[in-house]
Amino acid sequence: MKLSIAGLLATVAMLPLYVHADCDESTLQGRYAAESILFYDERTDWENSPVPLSAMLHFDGAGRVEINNLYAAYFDDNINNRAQIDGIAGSGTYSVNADCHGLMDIRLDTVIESTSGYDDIRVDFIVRFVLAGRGLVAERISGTAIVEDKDESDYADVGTFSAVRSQLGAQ
Amino acid sequence: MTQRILNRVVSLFTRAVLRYFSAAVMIWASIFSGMASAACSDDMLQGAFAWEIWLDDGVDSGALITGVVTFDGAGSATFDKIRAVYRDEEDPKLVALDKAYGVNGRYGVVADCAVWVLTDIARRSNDKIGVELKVQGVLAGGWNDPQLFGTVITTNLDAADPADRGYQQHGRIDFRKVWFDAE
Repeated sequence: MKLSIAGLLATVAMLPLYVHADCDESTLQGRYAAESILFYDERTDWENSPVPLSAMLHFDGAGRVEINNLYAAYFDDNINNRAQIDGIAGSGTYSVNADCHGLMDIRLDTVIESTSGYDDIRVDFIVRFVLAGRGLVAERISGTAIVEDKDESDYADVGTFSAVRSQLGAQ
Repeated sequence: MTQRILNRVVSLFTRAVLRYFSAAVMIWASIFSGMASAACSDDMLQGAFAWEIWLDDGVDSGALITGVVTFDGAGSATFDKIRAVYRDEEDPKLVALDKAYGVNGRYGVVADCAVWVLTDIARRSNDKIGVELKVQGVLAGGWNDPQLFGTVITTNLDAADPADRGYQQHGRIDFRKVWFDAE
């Protein structure tokens, strides 16, 4: 009798923890440091080098995401031009399914300096991802990225994406 | 007897409730620590970090470089134990530079946890390769496992052949803290 009561109480006590094992938007909360490397999609008929990225993402736990300190390094056209690093910001939305897969869509709108003057860059940074970690908040995000240019429909980059939760400096 | 069973049930229930609430408090503390605004500073990069870069020059050549950097927690960095593997332009095979040499650098951690790192010229006395490393990145992880994800550009500033000066590559760089003695 004592054992069954203890077992019942222990089960009831632990139950709420397991109920939350399903993922939703609240599984992504706070800051995540991200890295990505983009390659030009095959459907574009010109080649260029991969574009490395690093960025800080802020998830609000309810479907909104902001991206800050996105650093992209690239050669403007070829090796004869100087490589440069630009800082870019943007915002967007995300959703997380119960099976811990998800989708984020971030709009980046910025002006960069190029050999031909200044270019207005408007792209959608779309990532399909899976979440990893323990507890109620994801520790890692792994995904694949597509970057679509809103002004040139035949232009797209594809690449890898990963992010790790950033808790340094949290107050 | 009944009183003893009742006391036991109350005791077990109290323990279960305490266990549940302590777990809940830890989880919520964890959530809120991630949501809170950041206030990062130079001292969050302190100690030895292993790093690796994959570089690309935008045309046809790449290089893999690894090493150890020691951040002093106050804005100075020392790069050491640098190893590079790259494709030789004239002789198309991978060539390893298995030399260790020190490079001085500077870094800064901004309040929002963005980081910059800039080396002085890395000079190899035998063939005078001097490379500047410029990194912009962000901090990841916690106190027990700090990491830095960065975007990097290298510039050859001191090549023996003047035609090679200004040669640039770019890539991604990751730093991860090592807890053992880097020596």
